[in-house]
Amino acid sequence: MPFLDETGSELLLGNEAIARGALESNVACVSAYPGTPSTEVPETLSKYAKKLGVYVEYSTNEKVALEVATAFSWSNLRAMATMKHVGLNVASDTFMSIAYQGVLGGLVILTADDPGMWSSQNEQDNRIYGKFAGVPVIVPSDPQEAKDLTRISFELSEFVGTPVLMRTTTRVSHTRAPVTLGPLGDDVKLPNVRKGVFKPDIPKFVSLPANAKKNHPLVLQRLEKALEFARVHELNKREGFGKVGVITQGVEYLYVKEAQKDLGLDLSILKLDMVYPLDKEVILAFAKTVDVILVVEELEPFLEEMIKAILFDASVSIPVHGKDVLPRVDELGYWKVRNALERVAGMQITYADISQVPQLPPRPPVLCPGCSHRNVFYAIKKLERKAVKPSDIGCYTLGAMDPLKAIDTCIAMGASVGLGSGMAKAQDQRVISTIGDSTFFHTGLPALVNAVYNKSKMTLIVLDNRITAMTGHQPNPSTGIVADGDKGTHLDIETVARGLGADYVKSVDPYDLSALEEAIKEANQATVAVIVAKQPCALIRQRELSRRGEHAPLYAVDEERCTGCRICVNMLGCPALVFDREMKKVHIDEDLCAGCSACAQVCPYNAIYEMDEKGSKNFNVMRDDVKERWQRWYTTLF
Amino acid sequence: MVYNIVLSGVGGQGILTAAKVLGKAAMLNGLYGAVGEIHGLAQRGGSVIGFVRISENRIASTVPEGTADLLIAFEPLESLRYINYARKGTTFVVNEGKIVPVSANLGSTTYPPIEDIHKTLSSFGPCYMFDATSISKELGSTIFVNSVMLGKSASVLKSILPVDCIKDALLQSLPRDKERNIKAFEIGFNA
Repeated sequence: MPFLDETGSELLLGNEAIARGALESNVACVSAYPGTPSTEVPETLSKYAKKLGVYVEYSTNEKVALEVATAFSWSNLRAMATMKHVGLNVASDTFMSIAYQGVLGGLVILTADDPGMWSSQNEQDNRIYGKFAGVPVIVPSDPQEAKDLTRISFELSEFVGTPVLMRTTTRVSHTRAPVTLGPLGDDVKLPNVRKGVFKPDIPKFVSLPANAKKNHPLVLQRLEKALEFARVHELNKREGFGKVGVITQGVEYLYVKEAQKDLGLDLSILKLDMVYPLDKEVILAFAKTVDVILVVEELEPFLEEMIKAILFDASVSIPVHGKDVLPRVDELGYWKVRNALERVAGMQITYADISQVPQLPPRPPVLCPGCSHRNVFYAIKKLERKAVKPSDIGCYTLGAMDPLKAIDTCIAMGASVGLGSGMAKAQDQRVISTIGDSTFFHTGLPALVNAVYNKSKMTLIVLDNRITAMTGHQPNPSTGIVADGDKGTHLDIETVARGLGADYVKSVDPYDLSALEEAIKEANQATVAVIVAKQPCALIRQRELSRRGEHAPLYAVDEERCTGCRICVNMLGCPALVFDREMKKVHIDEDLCAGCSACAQVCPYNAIYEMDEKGSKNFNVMRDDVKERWQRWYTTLF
Repeated sequence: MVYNIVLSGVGGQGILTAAKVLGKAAMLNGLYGAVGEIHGLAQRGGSVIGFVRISENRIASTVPEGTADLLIAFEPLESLRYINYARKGTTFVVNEGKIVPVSANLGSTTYPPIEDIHKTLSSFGPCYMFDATSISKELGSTIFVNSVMLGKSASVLKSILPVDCIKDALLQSLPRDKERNIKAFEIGFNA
């Protein structure tokens, strides 16, 4: 098992390197809510959790994950909570308080930011959270540093007594590169999860105003102590003797180095591994040796503004460039950094010879063939074109794409329910919200309570595929399996919704389009209606069926019956449906088809048939045995 | 020395696995292999790009635009979509097997003819186009496309990475069906 080797090198993803760093740091708990680009940290550890003395947990949301990790820290054990950048918004209430209260066992919070928004709703710069809360921020630039700085972060956390925010970006978390392995922590190698001891300490752990008032000055003292730690461990490294100075961090450092090499530039570079708090003395000493400073950092002028303030206070007047020559939006890259360096060094700008991409048919992400979310969107669009349709964060956000266009909004985790609740009061159209199972448990629950309590007339459709799919299939309460693969408690969403007081609750199989449509119609009679559309993620099902040596049935188009009306293509937009422009017929790509039969149910000419074992055509696609098969898929997969 | 590889295709084709294999091969050859992955919004069906940079020293994993030495496209349309990474002299290894995007089915756009794609790519540098999908299907399934593509790419990469390094890296990353994947690799190598 190379990942658990104690010597040598491995090609590791930045996130795997962080997981590895946690194991080398003797971590006792890693808790997480999955979110790109952070997910591989818990995912990697969950594979080994049973063999190691580490508790790995998929929590229901990031705030809970941070609280679970805090419990380990306050029981004198090391812990890590991981999340994507917007996850820290959810965890921020707890985060801001524990910054005052401090830690016992080392506590590291990983925030994986997403400059360029490869898979996020914003590109907020979470370094600012460190400054906001008053906790140190550590920033690695590649997988090796990600591992090494994870260890450093735990040490820093314990030396200072503060939580530490480790901030990566997509290009660090999702870069794979050689990493030198070190020894695993002794306790990690024990087969059982460790137990610590919690000793009550009311002034520290109870954030009554009187206690908080005493704790706030401690936050500032801890920041001073963090500077001391950074000096001892040389977390801010200077290199070169050029008169042009660059202050940088993270993956930006690698862009600077590559451009420097290509330009043959003599630079002085200050690379910061700890970007908050900033060491005044280090900045001033660096500034004294250069004529001009360029701050190379993605997104906000976080370092730039602090550096300018430090120089102003010390009456040092050298030009400091940053966001005047580098963009404040999107990620940086080689060319942007190179051109900024050329400008600041007074060189001729090299205009990259980049070819124009021609106009091409776009290929945005789409719902997979056989995905039952598609059926729900089809039904909503068919029945309730005028409804207001808030949706949420998950694969189903793709319901906004052509040709489905069956959602109107997506804000943040759980917001479909809260916004729906408000829309019921704000306007007169019917409200139909859609949310996934994991997102429902994450932050949908309190908003559903709100809708019931305030009598907001709305229909909530929970797209229950029993897995957190978009981030790569992590289990959640609807799966009923916990992170290490053991059985947890399966929470049935129908039961939960009834318990919360929704006045119409119905589970339907979204593969059965007429049952689904019936439920959507019925639900309009209720005040708060919850429809649970139960069908497992088609990818999981296909994988599981192939493991069992079974396969989903194949569907095909009868060319004589097909009129080329394209209703199936235009209403479903399934990637397995291919329209032949010359023949004016649709055919089904059998490599892609997952056998859901939605197209067969939608076809007005009954031109799509199920191929049975002997190869004969069965045009009766809604038989009882088919419905039983779907039922079996839902109940026996997990 | 820095050698820049861009891999592109459609989600589900195994682009990121192929990128990982090349990065691993670089490492087995004593070089620094940096692999850049983008994990998109959906599990299947969207356009996907991955990077591999082979170097003596550590380096960022993103290939700068206009600097690719090799562009490996698992689907023809997805070669053109990333032509901004190409330069004069870029080598192309392209699978001819089409996957028609939903947008082209809806009738809003049309899929360009394969000959036009070949012509555009050839105006940059050598372009090897072949039907990796059919080769893979003959072996029993489309899941061998990435091994076929790796085989063909290995023949282009001979001067950078020994073929055996790539084959070893492939073997190490296969959970099962090693035999058919190696066969796919070899057919691709000789295609």
